[in-house]
Amino acid sequence: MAYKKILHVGIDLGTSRSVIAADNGVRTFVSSYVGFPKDAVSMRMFGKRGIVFGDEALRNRLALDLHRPFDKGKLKYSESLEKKPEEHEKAKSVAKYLLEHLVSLVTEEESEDLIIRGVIGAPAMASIKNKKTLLAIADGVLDDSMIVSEPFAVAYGLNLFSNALIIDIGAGTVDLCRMAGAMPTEEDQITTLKAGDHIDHVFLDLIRKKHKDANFTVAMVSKFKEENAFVSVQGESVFIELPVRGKPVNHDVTEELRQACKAIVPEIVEGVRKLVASFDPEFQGELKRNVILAGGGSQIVGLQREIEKYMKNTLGYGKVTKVEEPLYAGANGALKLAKDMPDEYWDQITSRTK
Amino acid sequence: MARSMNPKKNESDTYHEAVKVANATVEYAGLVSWSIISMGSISIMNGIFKIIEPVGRNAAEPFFAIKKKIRKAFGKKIFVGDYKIYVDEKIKGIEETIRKLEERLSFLEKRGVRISERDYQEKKKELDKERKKILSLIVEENKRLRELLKT
Repeated sequence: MAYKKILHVGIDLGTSRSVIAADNGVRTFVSSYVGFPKDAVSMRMFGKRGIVFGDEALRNRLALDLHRPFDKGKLKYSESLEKKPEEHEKAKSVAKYLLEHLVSLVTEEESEDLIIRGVIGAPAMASIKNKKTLLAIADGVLDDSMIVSEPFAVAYGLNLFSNALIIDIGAGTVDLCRMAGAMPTEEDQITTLKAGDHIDHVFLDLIRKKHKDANFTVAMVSKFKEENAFVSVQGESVFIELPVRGKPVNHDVTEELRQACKAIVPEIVEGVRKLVASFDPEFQGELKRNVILAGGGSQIVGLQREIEKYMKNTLGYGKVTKVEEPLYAGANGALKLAKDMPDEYWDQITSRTK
Repeated sequence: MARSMNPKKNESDTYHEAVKVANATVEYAGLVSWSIISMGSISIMNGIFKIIEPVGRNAAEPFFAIKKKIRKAFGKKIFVGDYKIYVDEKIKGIEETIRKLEERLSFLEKRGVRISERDYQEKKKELDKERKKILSLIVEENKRLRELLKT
């Protein structure tokens, strides 16, 4: 049999962004949008490609039939498979296209035949059904694939196996995972659904209430939030330019943005409290000192201090640390896991015929 | 009008003829002298060159050798139109490498890429028992998932 190179990849299929890191040094992300040309005109516009991904799809959404395959950390319609089988199949095929696109980004410079082994991060409390769906999506795109809990992948990447608490803030979910020196069980993990998307909707509602004349979309406020999100009291005022009867007008949205970003904090800190309080009392102190913030949402200015403040009030003290690369933390950890996995382990779960 | 004999004119012609002959004689003598001198000098110079040339060539040999080596290393002579220019092949090579690196860098920047620390075909490092145990648990869970996928 001809010798083939093995390429390991770590993948974080997120609600808002999908991230991939490969051991050939390439790592990248795309917004989790997949667009299909609406008609012959748009088909001509996008040429032979047929499918458009990421920000390009978002920019050209008027010409595309736009899909976002994941919602609240799981594949759309995966919980209503029996009721909406067609929609579920569509979401599955869209997710597969997205995964293929991600893999193509890291393999486009590879000339040789490759065996691609990938570890995919799933939300901490993803159901068995959801994990099965993810594996089904990966089959055919990756030669060998495994699913792990996303916050566990973050912890693995940081070599934090015991007495650490990972908070992975994504767009669809916030995953909390307590590392106790073994594989985290259900008791060690909490998933809340108030995450980045929730901030967008709260922010949208608050702007709508205050600036009734302004015209805007979720995509517009979401982009603004990503660039300016904060929860701290101090700081400069933030203004968003929104059209009013066609004319761009600056609107002060400082308080609205702060309120929207704060909307996710109570559930996070409550999750932290639960996980700390139910931990072995002997190690609770160390757990409180090792709270790690990861994911895109961890970039909210002041969030770290806000959680620390809450922990001080309810748990005595707490030390929160942000990971160096919040966006890539999950994919980096999954890649590390894929690389560490011995070949004989991979052989046990391989889906390819040898 | 009848022409009359002008004895003064006749005198003048003789005088001028004599001057011309004298000039020609001096000029000829000068040329002969110059010829003798120049021929002599050439002979002397040739003699000197014959003596100096091998000495000079031998003395300059190391410098020519260095020049030749440098030219071989850094470039070659080519003709562009009527001009001879030296194109530095090494520099061209370096420029090509830089261009490739820049292309690669722009690709990496576009993708938000970090350079891999090691060759990805590197042999897997030995894992400690605890880590192996964790990995085996992940494999077991995935095996169960795959079993469920078949049903």
